[in-house]
Amino acid sequence: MLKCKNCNSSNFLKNKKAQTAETMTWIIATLVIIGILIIFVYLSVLVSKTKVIGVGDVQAGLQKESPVLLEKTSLGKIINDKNENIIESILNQGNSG
Amino acid sequence: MKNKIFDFFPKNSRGDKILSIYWFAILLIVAGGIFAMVYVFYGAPYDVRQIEARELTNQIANCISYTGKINTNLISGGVPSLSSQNFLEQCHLIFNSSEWSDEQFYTEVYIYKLDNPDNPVLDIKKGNNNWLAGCSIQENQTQENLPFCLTKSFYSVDNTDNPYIIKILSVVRKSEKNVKM
Repeated sequence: MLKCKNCNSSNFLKNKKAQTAETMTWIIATLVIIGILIIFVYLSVLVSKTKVIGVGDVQAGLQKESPVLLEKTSLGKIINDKNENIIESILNQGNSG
Repeated sequence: MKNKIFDFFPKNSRGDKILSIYWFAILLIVAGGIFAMVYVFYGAPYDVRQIEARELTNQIANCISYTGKINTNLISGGVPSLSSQNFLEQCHLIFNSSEWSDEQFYTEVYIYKLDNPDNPVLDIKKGNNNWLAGCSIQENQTQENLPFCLTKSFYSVDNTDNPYIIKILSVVRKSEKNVKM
């Protein structure tokens, strides 16, 4: 039988340093886990806000013009192409969204 | 020898039981976090109003002008026609739906002569005009809870080759289906 020098009952009640250290370690680990989960949930919220299906190259700051409207403008210019600069300036002002 | 074998398995194992409860608690916390992440991401709908407004604009543009010339039912020889009253029927557009109690669309069409771009020769307004107020608020920044507004212009000529600028405003609401309210 293994013999412990200071292993009487009173020492067991007083000497709890190992258990205290172990408990503190797990409390901090729990807080770290909860913190990381909160960060991930917040990132999920941010990612869910990007679920917008657009039609233009928004990142480059360009809004691609609808090919249908471009085609109609081109056909109109083929028929009557006078004042092309005025047409371009008016069209550039009038588009938004 | 016998005593050594028995001492290998401690009698006092209360600490292990407490630790098991803690592990289950951690498992529940992590599972709850994963559930929250999935719910937040997949609970948010996709916003397709931009495409919807673009398709409405294209449909109206196809109705107003084809092969480069404005529909003679709207303008003929420089004179606007009165048959714009049934514009939606002519363009095969139905704005009301059984799914919604109110119309979720609104559109404005302005046709200007090139030499007078401030005064339209013809203006058509169809749909639920309650959504128009949201467009002026969003001039600088889009608000996802408000209706989506799209303004596009193009050039065309009438049957006598008079030049015109056509401006189309398309407004799509449907916020409940496209935005997490």
